[in-house]
Amino acid sequence: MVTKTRLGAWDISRREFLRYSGLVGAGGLAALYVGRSPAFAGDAVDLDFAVWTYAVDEVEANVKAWQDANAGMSVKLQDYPWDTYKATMVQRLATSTPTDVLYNNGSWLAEFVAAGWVVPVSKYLDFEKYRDKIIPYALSGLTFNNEPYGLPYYADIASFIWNPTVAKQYGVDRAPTSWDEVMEMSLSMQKKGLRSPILWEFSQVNPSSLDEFIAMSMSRGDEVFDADMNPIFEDPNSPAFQQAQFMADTIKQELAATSPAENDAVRSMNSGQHVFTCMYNYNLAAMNNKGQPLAGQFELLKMPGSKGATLGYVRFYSITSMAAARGDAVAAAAGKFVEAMGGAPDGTFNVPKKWAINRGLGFGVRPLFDDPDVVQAFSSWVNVPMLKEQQELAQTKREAKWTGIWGDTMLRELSKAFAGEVSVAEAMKASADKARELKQQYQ
Amino acid sequence: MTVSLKRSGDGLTRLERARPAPNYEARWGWSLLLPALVVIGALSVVPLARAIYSSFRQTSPLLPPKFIGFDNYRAVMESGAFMTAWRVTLQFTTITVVLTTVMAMISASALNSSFRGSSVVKPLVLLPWAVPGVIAGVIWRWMFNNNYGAINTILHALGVIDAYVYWLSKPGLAMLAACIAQTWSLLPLSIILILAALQNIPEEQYEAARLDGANSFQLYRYVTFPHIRTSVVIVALYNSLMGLTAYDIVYTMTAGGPGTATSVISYFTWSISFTNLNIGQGAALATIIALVSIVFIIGILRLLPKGALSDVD
Repeated sequence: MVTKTRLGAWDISRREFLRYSGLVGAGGLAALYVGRSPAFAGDAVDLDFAVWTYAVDEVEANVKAWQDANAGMSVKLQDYPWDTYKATMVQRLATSTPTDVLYNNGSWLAEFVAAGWVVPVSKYLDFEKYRDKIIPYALSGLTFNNEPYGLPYYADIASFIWNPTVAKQYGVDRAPTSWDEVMEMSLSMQKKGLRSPILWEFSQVNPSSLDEFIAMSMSRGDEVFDADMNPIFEDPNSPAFQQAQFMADTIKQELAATSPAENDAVRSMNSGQHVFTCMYNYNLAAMNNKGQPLAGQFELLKMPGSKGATLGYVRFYSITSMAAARGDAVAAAAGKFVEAMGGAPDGTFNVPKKWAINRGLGFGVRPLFDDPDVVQAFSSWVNVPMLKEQQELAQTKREAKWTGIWGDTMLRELSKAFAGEVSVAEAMKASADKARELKQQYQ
Repeated sequence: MTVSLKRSGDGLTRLERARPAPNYEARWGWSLLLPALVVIGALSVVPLARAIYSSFRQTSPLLPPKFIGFDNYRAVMESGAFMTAWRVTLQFTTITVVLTTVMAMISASALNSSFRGSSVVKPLVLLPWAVPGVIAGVIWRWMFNNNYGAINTILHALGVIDAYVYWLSKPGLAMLAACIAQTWSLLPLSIILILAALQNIPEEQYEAARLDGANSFQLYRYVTFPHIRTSVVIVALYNSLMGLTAYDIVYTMTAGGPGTATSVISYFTWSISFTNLNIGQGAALATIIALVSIVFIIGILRLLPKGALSDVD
């Protein structure tokens, strides 16, 4: 029996309907495929651009400006939360989900290069014209095996921040110059009624937490690995061990509270219930933003450790191997896009300058240090000479292709130590064991 | 297919299957089912098979692929975090299932009666259902914030607490907070399922019971509960599965901390796969979670009194 049922107002049989539906579906799939197929010079190019969620409206505006200036180019923007960004990128890149340009991080670069997910940018833009303009820790962060893998989105430092106004209310009228003084002052303020003078931005899934921990360890003298990538934090006299113990002690004594994410930490600092914190420097701009209740009260301090050093880091735009595989036109468009976002195609670093002025993001390029607009904007929320002094002491952390994986273990072990589930010594040993295991497995 | 009885040569009766006649209807039925089967196969069966296959292999973008037998399963089960995460997950699941089920029964009973404004309240109850888990997690994280959270503000204003409580910084309180958020998220569907069952109870049964002298408790015990029992079981099963696989709300709120206080097992699948880039071990853990969930549900079903699910059998 042949079904002759007619479908409503459309005078077609069920079989015809199924056939046409199949054709439409196949056509759709073909269109999708063609949409990602290699493009050729002169073709319109669409780029998939992945970012973490931060000031997405500004990113959209930058993208739109580039599209308007480059006829035939379109950029599809997708943003993901910072906490899960790396894992999401791993999923996207491992499954070949279309991604042409992405925000990258020095902490993951070695892994992403080893996995073959990102390509050196020097093939797609004239990197040499930027090399001397990029500040050392930013250049170091975006370079792997002597190859540059991007141009800076921003470059910043982890900063020690305090609120002298609240400190004064609780009897502290000068800045601490050592970690011991931070402890003494916090104890003193707690006795006078300020419950938790310190706030740590800490959660076991927040990569910033590890950077800030390493920055504070650097201020005491060193980071967590030696030049051969052997863990050096098991030794109770090592800077990282001492910093972990310091943080665990402050949490145990309720001298410190924790906040899992930077937005929460900025708001908590503005509640007036904390005096000291260590966060990425641009958060100082957010704390002093006019919309905040205690705007203008927060100041940058030199890191209290004996060396006063801190972590300098860079976030940068990378081109994926997927973009390179799509052909010269796509790769060239990706290079052009990256240069517009992080470089100075017309001689000025327009987009990095916008980020610096509008959001207080640090910049990875020297010319902006002398830009009067940038200096004026920064002066509204930070002591610029102090910032320059701290930046001079910034250093990058040592990375290998397994350090991103190790970081997950380190954060989990620190979290257990801070919660009192294990001692700091046990946490450091477990984390060092993991580092040795990974080093052996991957090198 | 037709079946006929036929007298054989030796005199015995035997069952003979007649050759099935060409059945156009059956073929048409299968052809209609085929698109759905292809989609289900592509989106469920193939990934499941692929995950099980990966669980026996070294699968990482940084290492060469190779067959390694049960090594992934061994590594996952020998990890110290494995048992801790299961303990936390079972604790979390038990608390949320009990809280959700009891609150859903109470709320559904309240909503089943007519009261002023009930037409406004009933749709409002559904609101949490429409909020994605990640958003719910962020909202609750702010609600429980140490410094500016609404919970502290309200409790302080009411005089319940003298000083703000550090909800998410203390292991026990963080677990409680995560359970409250999960319960809030699961409650709407649970209420709707039980409310639907309540609204199908014939009023005559209550009248007859009242004539027999039943008090309120007896009305609930002997009239109401038998009618909603199936829905309650379904609600408990659904919420158990949600608890065993919980991830988004918990991790947005507490990130598994402080320490391992709220580190549920689902996080480790994600963490091992995509942070540690060990997709093989992640697949092994996902397979273990699936097996445990199946065993858990079969166990619950077996523990139920006979006929508890008779309405849906």
